[in-house]
Amino acid sequence: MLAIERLTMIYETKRGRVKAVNKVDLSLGKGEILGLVGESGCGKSATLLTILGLVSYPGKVTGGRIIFRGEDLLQKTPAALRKIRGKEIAMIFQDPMTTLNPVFKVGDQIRESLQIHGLLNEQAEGGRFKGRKRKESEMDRVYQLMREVGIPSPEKRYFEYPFQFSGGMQQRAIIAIALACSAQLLLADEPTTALDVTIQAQILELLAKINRERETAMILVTHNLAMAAEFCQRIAVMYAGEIVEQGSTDEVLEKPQHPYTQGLLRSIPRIGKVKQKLEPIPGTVPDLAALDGTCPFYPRCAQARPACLEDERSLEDVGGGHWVKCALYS
Amino acid sequence: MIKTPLIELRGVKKHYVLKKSMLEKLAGGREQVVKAVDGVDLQIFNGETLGLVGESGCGKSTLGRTILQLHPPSAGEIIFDGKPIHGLKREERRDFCRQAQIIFQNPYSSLNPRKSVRQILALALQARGLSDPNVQEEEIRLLLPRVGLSEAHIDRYPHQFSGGQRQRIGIARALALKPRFVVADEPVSALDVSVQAQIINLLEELQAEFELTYLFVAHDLSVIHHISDRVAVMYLGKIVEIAETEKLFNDPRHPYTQALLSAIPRVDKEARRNRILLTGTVPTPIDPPAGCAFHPRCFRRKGRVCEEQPPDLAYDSSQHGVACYACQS
Repeated sequence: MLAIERLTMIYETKRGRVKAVNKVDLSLGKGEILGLVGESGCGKSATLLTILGLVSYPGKVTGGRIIFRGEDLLQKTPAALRKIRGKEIAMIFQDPMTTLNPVFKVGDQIRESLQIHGLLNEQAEGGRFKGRKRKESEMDRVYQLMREVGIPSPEKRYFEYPFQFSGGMQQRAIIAIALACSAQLLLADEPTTALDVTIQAQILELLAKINRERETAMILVTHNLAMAAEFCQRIAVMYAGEIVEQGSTDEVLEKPQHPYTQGLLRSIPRIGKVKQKLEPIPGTVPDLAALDGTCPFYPRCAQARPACLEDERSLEDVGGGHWVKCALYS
Repeated sequence: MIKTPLIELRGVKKHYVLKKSMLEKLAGGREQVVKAVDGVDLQIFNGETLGLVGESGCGKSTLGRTILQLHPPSAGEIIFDGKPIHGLKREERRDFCRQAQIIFQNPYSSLNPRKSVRQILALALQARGLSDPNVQEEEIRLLLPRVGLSEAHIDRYPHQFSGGQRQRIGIARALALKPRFVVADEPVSALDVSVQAQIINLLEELQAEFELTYLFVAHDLSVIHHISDRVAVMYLGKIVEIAETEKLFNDPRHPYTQALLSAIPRVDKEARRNRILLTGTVPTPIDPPAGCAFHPRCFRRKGRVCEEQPPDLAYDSSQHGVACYACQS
């Protein structure tokens, strides 16, 4: 359904070109959930923004294709993209408080999506509704959506403002906006990072339900490996703008091949395991403006070798749909 | 380890009175009080790490800060090393402030952007009574490598450091005072996974080297599990369960702890168990529910008793304390 090929997005800065997204290949089938994991600044969110065509100056897409249902999104005009955004591809952002507009009623913000994409007008039985009749039918649909995402007493909550909602409820409202037009692809950028553990579990359960019932494909961006492990069928690990490893969740987490993925898994504390000292990855994430085409993980890698300094690395299949970008495997 | 309490809390409360607008004052009505910490009894033993977990707004950070006297408690007693802090004389109080330090959550806002590392640490040393610049310099040069920074960093400013490095400066600042007790208030939650492990290891090394006692406040249960000897779970200003780490994670008794633990996403496949999904959110501490504060969300509610009288924290023979009627038989 979605196929991304060698997508590159750069930020033109005074200090040079920052390759935020560097030759990323991804694909996603109908109803599939893909987890995009990595540390901050590795290009996870930038990838999502690029898919939606939301990259603005000084960012620039310099190469690649984003094929969504047979059409290249990068070739579309802004007006055509606007029709797709929110209707066919919806996005959930990290911080619910800044996503919702504080001065409009939550219900109206959900209804706005229906209005913009003119959905109710087309679907309404017996021709077009006008005026108040149309508003009523739209509001009924909003109530239904709010109920579906688990907002209690929607007839009352419709008229409340975002500040009257708790963080979890706000995120539910945002999910309702995303669902309003039955999008086939949902991009979720750290949807639960701002929430507490028990609320996080509720929201993930809600997203899983939507995925089951509507077969909505999702890309979940997260820095929390455990969350990706529970929620996603496939995982792609990003480092410094590149995808370094990709495969089914079990493959990636149980047989990690890339030294970065291995390091990441060794550095997180795990409950239930015998306590041992954590093994952090030495050093820090590289400066993206100073990358020279060699492996960005080279300075931190315990298994670094001369071959790592060659310019071109590609994702190699190590079996069973498990892809790794590392000189060890090429 | 000899178990002598370094810090003991007896019925500590921290209430904030909400300001009323002029209109509300005219209308009368009763005062609204936020019960951030509402009656906590707790002992923290010498040399241990006590993990404090709970969701946002449950009062865990407030409790840490109240112990340090960053805000005075509204009621109750805090005893440090056998002496109640309340009755300390000026000099003794200064000494307490030196011995009890804090590492803050956000390394971006807890360091003064206009001061270099040298100035930041010198101020702390000054508070310890070292005012000779040469002695200070020497101390700082000893301190920096200890927290994984180099001497070359001494004249740099906070913005020149990454998040992990800034947290190291914050740790050095706390260490500069030669503390015995450190409140670590979410010290790694603003950091990336790989850096988080570096800081956790550093905190563990320093604990062994300087015989520190930690109160480790965090919402990330995997981190708490890794670093703590004992864990206390807070809900709406009260401790609902406290036990040794393994005991708490293997045999959680309070329904809230059970739900909290089941909600943690796990990397390990075999560890994923049945999830207990709580409904609703944490009620506000302004008007907490009567009786057990957890009863509106509780799946093991026993009836009237839960709604009327808040349960006390009752300990069993293994010092596993639970505040729940359903668990006490």
